[in-house]
Parts: sequence; C-alpha cells; structure tokens
Amino acid sequence: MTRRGVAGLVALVVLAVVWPQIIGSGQLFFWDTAVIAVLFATSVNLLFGSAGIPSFGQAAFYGVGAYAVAKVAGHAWPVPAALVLAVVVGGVVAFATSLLTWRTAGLAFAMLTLAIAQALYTLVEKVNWLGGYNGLPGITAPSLWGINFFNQANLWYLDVVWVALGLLAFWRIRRSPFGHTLNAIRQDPRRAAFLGVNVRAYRAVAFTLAGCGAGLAGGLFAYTNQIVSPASLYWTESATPIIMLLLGGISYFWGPAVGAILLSALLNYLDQVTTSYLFYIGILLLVVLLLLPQGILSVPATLQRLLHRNRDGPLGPRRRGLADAVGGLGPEPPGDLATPLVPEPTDSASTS
Amino acid sequence: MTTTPPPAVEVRNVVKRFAGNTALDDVELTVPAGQVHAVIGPNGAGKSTLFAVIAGEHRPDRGTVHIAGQNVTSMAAHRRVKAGVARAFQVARVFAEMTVEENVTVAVVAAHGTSRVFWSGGGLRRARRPVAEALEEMRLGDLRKRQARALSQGDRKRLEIAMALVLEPKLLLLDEPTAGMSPEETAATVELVHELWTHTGLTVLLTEHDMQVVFGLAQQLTVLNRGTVLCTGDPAVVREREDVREIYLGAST
Repeated sequence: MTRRGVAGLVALVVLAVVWPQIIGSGQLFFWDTAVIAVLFATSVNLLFGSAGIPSFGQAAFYGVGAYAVAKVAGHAWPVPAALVLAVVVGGVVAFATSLLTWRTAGLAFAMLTLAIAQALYTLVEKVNWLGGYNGLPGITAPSLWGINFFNQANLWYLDVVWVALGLLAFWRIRRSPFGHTLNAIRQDPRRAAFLGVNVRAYRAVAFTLAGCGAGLAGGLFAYTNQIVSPASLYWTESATPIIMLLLGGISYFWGPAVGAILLSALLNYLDQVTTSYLFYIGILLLVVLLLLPQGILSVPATLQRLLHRNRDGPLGPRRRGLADAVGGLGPEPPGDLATPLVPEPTDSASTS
Repeated sequence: MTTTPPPAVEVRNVVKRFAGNTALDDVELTVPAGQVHAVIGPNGAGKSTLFAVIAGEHRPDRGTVHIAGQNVTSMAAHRRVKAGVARAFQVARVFAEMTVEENVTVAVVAAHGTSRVFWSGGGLRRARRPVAEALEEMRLGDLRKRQARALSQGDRKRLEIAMALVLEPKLLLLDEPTAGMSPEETAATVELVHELWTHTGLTVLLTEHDMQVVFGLAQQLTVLNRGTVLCTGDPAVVREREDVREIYLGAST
C-alpha cells in the first residue's frame, strides 16, 4: 500500500471515530444511512463496474438481508450472527436469481432482475409472517460486549465497522484473479470463454457476492432504521445505488462511495430547503453525466487529459474508461489505495 | 515399440448447416500431433465454420470432433480449452481496456485455475513470471505496459498468440494469422510461428489467404471448397493439382 493510501485510511478511521462528536446526534441517523449506502453501492459496482452485469434488482437482496435481521433480532440473536445471516440470505437469494436468469444477459437480464425483485416485493407485502404492508417494527441490536446500541454513537460505530469489513471484502475481490477475470468478461465475454473461462458461472458468482454485500447493507439498515418495510425491496431502492455509482464513477473502487455520500447528503439537505429536490438531483446527474461521463472521480484524469491533449493523442497510454476496474483504479486514485493490478510500480503514466 | 500419440485433432464426418445452407458437408480432417497444417480454400469454402466447430463455437449437426483422442463434440468452448484447444481470431480479440501484461494475466490465471479465487491476490503474483516469459517469447516485452487498444494489428495478433500459448494447448488454431499485417509483420510472424513450432513441437492448424505464408509454414494442406474437402496432402503436390488451380482461378475472376 502506498504512503498516500495509508494516510488516507488513517484519516478515514479518525474521521469515523470523531464523527458523532462533530455532527451531533440529530444528524447521526442520516449519516448511518449514508455509510450503509456506501456499502450497498460498492456491492452493486462489482456488477456494473467490474463484471459488466446490469442488474436492476439489487433491492431484493438488500431487502431480504434487512428482513433476516428483523426476524432474528426479535429472538435476540447477537449482532454478528444476525449480520452474517443477512450476508448468507442475501447471497442465497442472489444465487437463486442468477440460476433463474442463467441464460440471459444484457437488457433481458436487467429486466428479469427487475421483475424478480418486484415479485419479491409484492410477495413480502402479502406475507403476514413478515408483517405484510406494515413491515416489522421495533428492531433493536442487543448489547454486545456491554456496548449498548440504543446509544446513537455506538450504533454509528456498529455501522461503520461492518461497512468497513464489507468494503475490505469488495476491495480484495476486485484485486483478486477473479476480479481481474471479471474485467476481462466485461470487455469481451466471448474472448474470455476461449481462454477457458466459464462466463456464466463467473457471472453467477459475482452476482452472488454482490447479493451478499447488499444483504449486509440491508441488515445494517434494519438495526439503524429499527423498522423494515417492503419499501426496502421496491425498485427505487435498486435504482438509488446505480445513480450513486454513476455519479462517483463506475470505474473507480471509491466511485460508488463518493457518489453515495454525495447523493445522500444532497437528498438530506436539499429536502430541508426545497420540496422539489428531485428536480435538482436530476439536473446534477445530467450535468455530471454529460461533462464527466466517468463520474466525479474522473476529474483529475479529465484535467490531465485537457492539459496534455496534444502530447498523447487519442490513444494515449492511461486513458481509462470502465476499464479502470482492471488495474483497480484510474490514474489519480483518490485517497489512494491503489497500485496497478499486475504490480510493477515503475511505469505509471509513460509508455513510449 | 512406441505407441503413436493420438492425432491432435480429428474431425469425422462433420456436417454443419445454417438455415438450409450447408457450410460443411461431411468434412474429414486429421492433424497428427506436432504438425503444422493449413486449411485453404476460396471465400465461403467453410474454413471459418470448420474452425468454429473445432473451437466449440458451433456444434456440428452431425459427426464428431476429437482433441488428442478425447471426444469434445458436445463440449462448450471453455471446456475445450481445458481439453487442449486454444485459438486466435481472424481479427485479433484482446481486452482493449487492459495493458498487454494484464491481457496475458487473464489467460495465465485461467490456465492455472486460479481465476476463480476471489479472496486472495496470490494467483496474480504467481502469474507474473509466466506472463513475463510469454511476452518475451512473443517479443512483446517492451510493450507490456501498453494499453491493448493502442497496439497495431500485428502486435495485437502476437498478443493473442501469447495468450493462447500460456494455455499450453495441444492444438493451436490460427485463423488468418497474418491478415491485416504489413509485409514486414507478416514475415516476422511467419518466422515466429516457425520458431515456436521448432521449440515446442506444438500442433498448429491455420487458415490463410497469403499463399507464401501457407507454403512457408505448412507441412500438410487441406483444400476446402463449398464445404467439402477437395484434397489433403503435401503442399508441393497440392499446389500442382489441376482442380485446386481451377477453384482458385475461378474464385478470383
């Protein structure tokens, strides 16, 4: 890890520790949901940014994770056990979905995932065991090692620790041979098959892993929100993380995180100023996508390109699109945890 | 007494139809291990279809395909790679948004079976040495940090061959290996393939329009015409055949 990467990580940790003092308990709930959105959007980006799988049904796995925690919280399951259950349930439902969609890809796949998620939403709404339309209220995280989660700050730490674990897992996946292979599949699935890669199986595994991450995010949301309703599975819940990762930049590991914080903050604060906040969010998204099609994190790369336009020509060495997913990160990775995927730190920006 | 190894590829009675058109009609082809074999024929003769049937892109309507003695007729493409088939495409297909090195890495981790490991980066570190070796072998070492989309067509084709070689194939399929290359690149590629063959004894099946390449490399020739095998044999013999000359003259007018 680079020195800058370590510095960035330390800064993040310190910030997370002192955040409850800075922000005050009134706004802490909102920040809880924002970090949960960071994890959710990062899990979705394994599909969009790495594997090139367009899923519009990730809310299904988020929702079942939330319901899993809601059900066992009543039986006072310890927090880690309940959250592991959320991961497993999210993964299992995602795996089942990937089997149902085995032969599809692209738009057909996107529509099928949307349909499956909406079907689950309708089902959950009808099932009394899950509280029907009203959902399951009164979810609390039982004390763990003497830590009481009625305390808002402690709940924040619970969320942050588990989100960090989730991000670490996705970071490793991205930097693994599997993550590298997903990038290849995204770029040319047929070519990958002729290298001996079972493309459908890899897509199914990626989908399952993303479902695990969504399940964990949903489980944390259940503890934080203290009530779970069918709305967690509604299609708008699937759309939100997609907007987040488009804002931040789908080719960067931290893109979804940046997008999640930004969109959450905007929704929260604009909501207090104006009732037509969705209008402004729409304009923002439009502007970002038109001016920075690779997201906010591509600003340094875009500036660099503008400055060096004449030097590199259209096929300059480090012009990276979706493909950044590969080497992990773009040319100027923010809060840099990045080294090139096939490590060889000598040559980052110059080829002959 | 030594037992002869099974042929690297054996195509028997293969029929392939597309919407009523017969692309391959009862095609037979046997390539012994260690041979460089060229399939030639005019456009539409069925060369690409034959390659697709061997590589697993198309299933034949009838007939069988054996690779090194193993029946692969009903295997999907990715499983045939494990059985020993590697291919390069007519228009090189590489992962454009990756560097040269990263492209070969995909192939190496797939060949090592580490590509499914998502919890550790060790497979990528272990791939570094074979990647470097393959790049040296194909003389791509200087370009290893270059984005694949910034490569010339000739370099892309060599990159594709490097990716195929690390799969340690029993049969290498080269679909028009020099198409789109400059004369210099063509000469270099012919030399490279020849060198590879002398070093590794690899079995190569290739199609090619450039007859100089064919006669420079191939030890055996198969001529396809309208989906059927016209003849198979020694290049020097085949080129003198009246019917072969006829279809080539016929195709060019």
